Amino acid sequence: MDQIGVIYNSNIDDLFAYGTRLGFNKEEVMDAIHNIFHKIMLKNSLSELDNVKSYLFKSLRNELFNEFKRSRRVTLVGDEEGVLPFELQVNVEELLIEDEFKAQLKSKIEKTLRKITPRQREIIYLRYTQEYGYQEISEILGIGVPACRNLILKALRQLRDSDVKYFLFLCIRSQQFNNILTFL
Amino acid sequence: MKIKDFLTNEYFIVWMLSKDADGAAYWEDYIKRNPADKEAFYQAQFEFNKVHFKKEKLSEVEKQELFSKIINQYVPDQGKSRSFLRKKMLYPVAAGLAILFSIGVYLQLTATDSKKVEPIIGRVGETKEIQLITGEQEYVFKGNTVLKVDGSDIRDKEGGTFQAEEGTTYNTLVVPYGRQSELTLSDGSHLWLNSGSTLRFPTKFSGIHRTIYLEGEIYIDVVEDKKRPFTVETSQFNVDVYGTSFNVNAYGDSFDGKDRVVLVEGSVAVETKEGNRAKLSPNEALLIEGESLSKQNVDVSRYVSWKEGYLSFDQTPMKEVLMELSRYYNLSFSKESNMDSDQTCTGKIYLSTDVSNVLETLSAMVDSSFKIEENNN
Repeated sequence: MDQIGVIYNSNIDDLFAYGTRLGFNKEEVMDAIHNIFHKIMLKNSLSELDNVKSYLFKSLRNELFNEFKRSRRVTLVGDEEGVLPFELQVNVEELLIEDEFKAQLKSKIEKTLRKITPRQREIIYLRYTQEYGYQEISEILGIGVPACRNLILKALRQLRDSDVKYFLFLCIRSQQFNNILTFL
Repeated sequence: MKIKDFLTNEYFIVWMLSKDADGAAYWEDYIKRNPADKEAFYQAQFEFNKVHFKKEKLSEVEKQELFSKIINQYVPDQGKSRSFLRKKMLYPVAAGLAILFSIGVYLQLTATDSKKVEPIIGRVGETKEIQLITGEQEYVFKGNTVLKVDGSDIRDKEGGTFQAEEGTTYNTLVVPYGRQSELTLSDGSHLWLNSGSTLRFPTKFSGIHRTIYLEGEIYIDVVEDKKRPFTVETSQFNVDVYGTSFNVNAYGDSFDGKDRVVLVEGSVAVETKEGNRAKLSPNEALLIEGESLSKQNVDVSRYVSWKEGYLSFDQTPMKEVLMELSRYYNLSFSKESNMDSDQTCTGKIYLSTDVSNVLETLSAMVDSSFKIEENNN
């Protein structure tokens, strides 16, 4: 039981936070954590697992997702993308910037995250909070490594392009402005 | 760009959060082209690393409580399937969890026929909780319960102890419709009592016979003891056991009018009150209808799955599916319901403690609807 206690204490916060980000309420997440711990206790050797935490993340996700399917009473076909919300809020309080800008930055980051899909947000969350590589994340999400990375590349390219268009628009404006000046 | 421009740049934000190599190359190139921005870029990176995602947290007390539940309810020899039943005891009030129990998504409708089925109208009998009666004492359990005879006491999984009164040899366990219970007898024999059943069992087996009395349905793993034969007695017949697992279905009012004994392993003999006798081999079912006995070979899992908390069907006609559910929940389906439909069901239905969850799934699957009417008679 000691080993279980150590695993529980060092992972409970991250597991609970992840479960609630997946859009489940407190009781549902606690119940799912309860179940996955029973399952790992049935395993004889935990030491066989390379990474206990990513295994727990994966189990929790499956447990909750199965629950989600049960509760909606529908069989989901194919990709569940867009189904689990994975909403993210950020905290920018520690940044050394003025309060006014903090509010602006917080809203900008959250707005940007809403432009990408829930699946993309989930990968970002796992990379940023757990510093996981694509290999570990692909195991947690049950998708291939290339598919996992492509989701992030797609998000990046999409946002870079939108920024580029913005710059182009500015350039044209300023050129017109210069032309007017020259004309004057 | 200034620090603020970097911080609010969408590409910068997603790159900082995803830490993907693709962005690194992009920004390296950018800095080469705009060396004046270099300082601002590094400062922006430094500041951005202080951004956190908001995290929901459990209080220390909640964490401790959850951990105790995990440890205390853990029983190594139980499979995961029964955790469904334990869950019920865990958070009886959490409405969200009712769904958990509710039912399987595994039910599949095999018939391609998509015609509308008329509404199924049922009547719900009175619902009660599981009761344990020992001498003058009566204990009531919320939800499904797991009991064990331990010396002169009976204990439940939550650590509750119920003393069997002195002099009391037999106790009574009553399981109402929509519930089931698990019990370990003093000799270690382990049994599951199905919905709508009553069992009389001793706190301690005395004498040379081990006998329990049943009305309803039981699944039992009997511990072998050649010196003390084990007998399950019902109003119609006795089952004599020699170290074995079997299922006895002795609902006096069984739908097809037949009682049934299904043998999983070992060897049993069935003797009716009229004196007819039959021996069973594993995977055989004995149907008992009055004086007539008939044997058939069966897939035993279909008859014993209820103890794992689900009913299992394989191309079973809807009529039979409804009958099984009626018996479990004590419902009767009205004549208006389309019981002769050609539809069949294959899969599992989880036995929720709330019948409407089960009916809801079933009706969604067969493209039908249902209505529950209380029968107050």
